[in-house]
Amino acid sequence: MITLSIPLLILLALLVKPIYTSLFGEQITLKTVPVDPRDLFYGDYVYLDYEISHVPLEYISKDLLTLLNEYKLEEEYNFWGSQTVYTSLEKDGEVYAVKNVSLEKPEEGLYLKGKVDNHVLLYENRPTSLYIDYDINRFYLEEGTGKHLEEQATSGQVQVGMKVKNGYGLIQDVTVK
Amino acid sequence: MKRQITSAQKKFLQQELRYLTSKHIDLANSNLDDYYEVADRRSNTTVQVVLSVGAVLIGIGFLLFIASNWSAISSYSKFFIIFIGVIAFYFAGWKTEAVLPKTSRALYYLGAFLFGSGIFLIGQTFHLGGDVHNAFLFWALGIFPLAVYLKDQAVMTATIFFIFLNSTQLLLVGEYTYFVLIAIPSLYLVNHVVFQKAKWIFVCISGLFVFFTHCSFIFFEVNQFFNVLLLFVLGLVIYFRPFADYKQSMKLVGQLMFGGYGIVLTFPFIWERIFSNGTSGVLAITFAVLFASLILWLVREGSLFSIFLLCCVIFRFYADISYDFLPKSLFFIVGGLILVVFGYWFERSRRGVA
Repeated sequence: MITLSIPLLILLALLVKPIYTSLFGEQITLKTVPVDPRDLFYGDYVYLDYEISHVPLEYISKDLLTLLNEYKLEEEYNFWGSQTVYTSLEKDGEVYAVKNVSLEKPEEGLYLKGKVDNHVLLYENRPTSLYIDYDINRFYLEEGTGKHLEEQATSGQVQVGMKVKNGYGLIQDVTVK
Repeated sequence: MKRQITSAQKKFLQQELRYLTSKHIDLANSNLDDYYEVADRRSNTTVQVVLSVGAVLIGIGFLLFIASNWSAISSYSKFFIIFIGVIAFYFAGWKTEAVLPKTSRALYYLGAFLFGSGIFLIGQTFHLGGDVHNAFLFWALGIFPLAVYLKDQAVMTATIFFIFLNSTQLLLVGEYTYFVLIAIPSLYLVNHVVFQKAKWIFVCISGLFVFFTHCSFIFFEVNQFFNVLLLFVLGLVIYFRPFADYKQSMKLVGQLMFGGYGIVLTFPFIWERIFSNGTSGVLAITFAVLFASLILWLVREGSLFSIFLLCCVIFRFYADISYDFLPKSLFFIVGGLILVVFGYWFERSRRGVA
């Protein structure tokens, strides 16, 4: 009984967060630029790169900047690992944009939880912007249809409809404006 | 004079004599064929292989079906089919355990594959980031109870392999996998208690342990020289001081560890992490001489693996020294001849040991 229960419980548990966010999350729209790769296990998908992932340093809080400077060795930054950050969002016209990025979870307002990793800093002598990964970069499609969306996106703007709850973002749809 | 037999043969004789005595069988006037039947191991193995391969192929088909993301069926319908499918395969496996044990095993494997498909389907349905490391962790957690229940080494090996894939995020993503710290001792315990100290499982867990330890040192920015040296010394300790219950397994693991890391230590570049260029060259050569002496001593002691190790060390120096100044064709011809001679030496030694 345990042998069967555990895999079934794992499958059900994996559904909880996405379904909860889908039902109770706040609907927002974000701007992106996509690419079209394929994953061996998950299938065809469109890779989504967000405007909110490329954050100019003026939006970075002092505590996060201080932390990044701790890893500075002469003219290079030697940050190895992964640092959790929180990006507060505010409405800017039709879409949502970055308001502020900090190490502390915001007490109010809409925000997304993300990660800053070593790749951000290793290839730049002095970062002018920070790349933040929110783990919402993939939109899965039926096999063989990703190229079509990519071609559409290069001629216009792709926007992503998303539900956000407690820093967790769940992609709902991708539209070409 | 007593007849010489192995301890396994003695144990078997004691067991069968007890059985025959309990049945009050007169051995002098009985035909052994009345009480014993020779199992056709070859056909049993063939059936098991065919069923297992069939199950794996169907399982891969499940994974590819999920990956194709066929829009004719909604994602929730696919999830429902998978959920019911896991229950159905596990139930069918359980029901046929006594009657058709090999088919039962294949059905359980199908359930395990379908479960994995379900994990990837959820990621696909909700467009989750595609973090395969966590997906493999969940897959390992889900099939581990099956491995324990069936005492199945194949499923246990898959569990260990999935945990290994999860642990690669140490290097690829830069996130520490604390779960593996708990998993490794737990796996050793399960192997000891459930799998009767299975050699193959022990070696697999040890491989995971070595990989995880090595990557942890990299993650915490330990100097690579100390990383390699520590694991080399650990390999020696494991080889020369194995636990009695795991003597053969630990000797094998120890050989692989000190052999692999020892060869790395014959390269000057690893010593340059601590010492200057000139000193590193001298230390590497000195170590290589001592290492080769140790291997030669082990060869004299009858260690077959040490012959292979010695061949690796000789070939490593041949390649390092000759590659730059020999014409390429000559390099490959001489290198090939060296390997043929090594193979001949190894085979002769193996026949001598056997």
